[in-house]
Amino acid sequence: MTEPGPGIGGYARRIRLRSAAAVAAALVLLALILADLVTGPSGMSLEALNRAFRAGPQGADRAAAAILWQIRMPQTLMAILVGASLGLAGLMMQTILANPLASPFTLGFSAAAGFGAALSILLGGLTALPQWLETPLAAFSMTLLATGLVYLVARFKGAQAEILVLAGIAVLFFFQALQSLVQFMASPEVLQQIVFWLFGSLLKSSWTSVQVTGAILLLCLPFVLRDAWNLTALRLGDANAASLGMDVDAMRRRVFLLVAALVAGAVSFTGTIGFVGLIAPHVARAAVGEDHRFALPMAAITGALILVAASVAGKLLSPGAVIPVGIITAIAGIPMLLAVLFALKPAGGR
Amino acid sequence: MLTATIREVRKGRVTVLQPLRLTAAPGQVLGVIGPNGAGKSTLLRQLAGIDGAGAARWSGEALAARQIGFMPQAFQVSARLSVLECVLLGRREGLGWRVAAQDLAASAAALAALGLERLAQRPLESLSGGQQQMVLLAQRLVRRPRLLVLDEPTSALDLHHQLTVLGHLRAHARRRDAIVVMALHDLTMAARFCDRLALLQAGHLLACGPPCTLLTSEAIREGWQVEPEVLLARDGGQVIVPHRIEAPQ
Repeated sequence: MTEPGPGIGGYARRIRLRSAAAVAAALVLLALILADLVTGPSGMSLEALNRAFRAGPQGADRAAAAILWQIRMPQTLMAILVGASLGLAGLMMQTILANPLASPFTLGFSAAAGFGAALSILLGGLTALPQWLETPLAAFSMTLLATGLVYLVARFKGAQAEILVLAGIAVLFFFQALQSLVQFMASPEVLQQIVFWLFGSLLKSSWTSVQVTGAILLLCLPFVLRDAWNLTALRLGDANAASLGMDVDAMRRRVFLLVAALVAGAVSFTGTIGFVGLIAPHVARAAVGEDHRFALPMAAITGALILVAASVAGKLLSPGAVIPVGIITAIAGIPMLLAVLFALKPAGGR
Repeated sequence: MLTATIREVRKGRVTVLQPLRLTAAPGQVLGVIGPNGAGKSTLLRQLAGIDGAGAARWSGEALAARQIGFMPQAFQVSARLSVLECVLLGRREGLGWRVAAQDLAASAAALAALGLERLAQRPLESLSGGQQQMVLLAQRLVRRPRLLVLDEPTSALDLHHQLTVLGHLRAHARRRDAIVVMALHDLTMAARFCDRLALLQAGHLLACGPPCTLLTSEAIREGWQVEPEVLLARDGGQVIVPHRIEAPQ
């Protein structure tokens, strides 16, 4: 039954390899951030970028300052924040539902956000708020409403994976139906606006969206990381986790609320961006295994990496009219998912 | 002294366990035996507090979750973790962002105690069912529980490893003044390794006592509907040899 293999020394080596993988991914992300900042319809060299960055938002070169500080920087930061939020939310969702096909949108959050945004665009000016603020607020509120519905079911029926998924599917279809109803009622012009919102685009980014999404991510992070060992223990199954003294239902409800907050913060300003939350966790697990102390940061870095890369690709493929990142991730997501599936070892573990 | 007062347990309209009271002294191994559906797993879950408040009291005081090591019936796990990382999770409550050297050493020692040290860096999902069962047992042992509650801990093991694991559990109870309560189907192993046995049938505790008084031909015939021969081995232990049951023509 016993076979050759190292002991504690092997563990230390494994930790060093995982740290190296996370640092390498962070360096690739840094390179992509620079590429995203120098890419755009008006172009900008690295040197010009450096000058505009050092001069600040009030720099003497007004055009360069406006391009960097008002357009590209918010978009790049939003790509990082949304990607990281979706990566984290995706990994947590796949872990608590014990399902590799789960994503942050499995429980109907995106459908709810989409309905909120569509309703706000259709009814435009219903509140005193400007449209650029009213639409994300409506999307955010509807996501929280969907969260509340699923949470209520989990509270009264227990938070087992299958109950969460069934409640989530009910919420998903409910909000999808409402979204279709709003689209059916909309005029062609309004319908075009709704469809554009649903694409998922970084063009809607602003410093306000960066601050709100960033604040939500920063607020959630300590709670996410505090549950790293619990999430790892949950990978051995509910029965095993419970027998180690864990309150599995309470932990699942807690993580579910964190996922909801992260997703609401991510999609309210940019619209639905698919596949990032599905693929990033797979890449993270393949790179660093399922010790969530490493898998969580890696999923966040990978999510950010995918979205920043999609942003660069969107600008390079169509320099005149930037292709929304939601379309890029949807198209690129399928081959990426297949690549991850083929790269997976039948019985891995790093 | 461990005392456990267990209330009636119902699943829907069916009573699966009648009220009962169990006692065990530190250092003892208590075997829970009985045919399928007798209520053994339910009793163990109640004892460990898995389905609600724990029924076990140690010198009159309730045991905290971290003082209990419960292992459910054998199940396959598939996680991208190494064997050592899996055992380390047994110390989950005390783990920080950086794993302390004593936690790693305790995990490695728990593996070594079961002869599994050379599997430490193997991926958990690449192990056989029997190997996984032993790793999950090491995960409980690393918690150093006062009460170890195990549901058929040797169900997936070959004869050599059954003897290794049961011998280790007996030594663990003696050395640490802990109590081991385990459900077993193999009556010969139960007789050989348990200090006392609790015989369950249809949710009732029929008897509790030393193996030699409980494992009589009559009790086995009555409880399991088999015709047994109860022999004595050279070391005085009981050996239960069941007769074949002929399939109907």
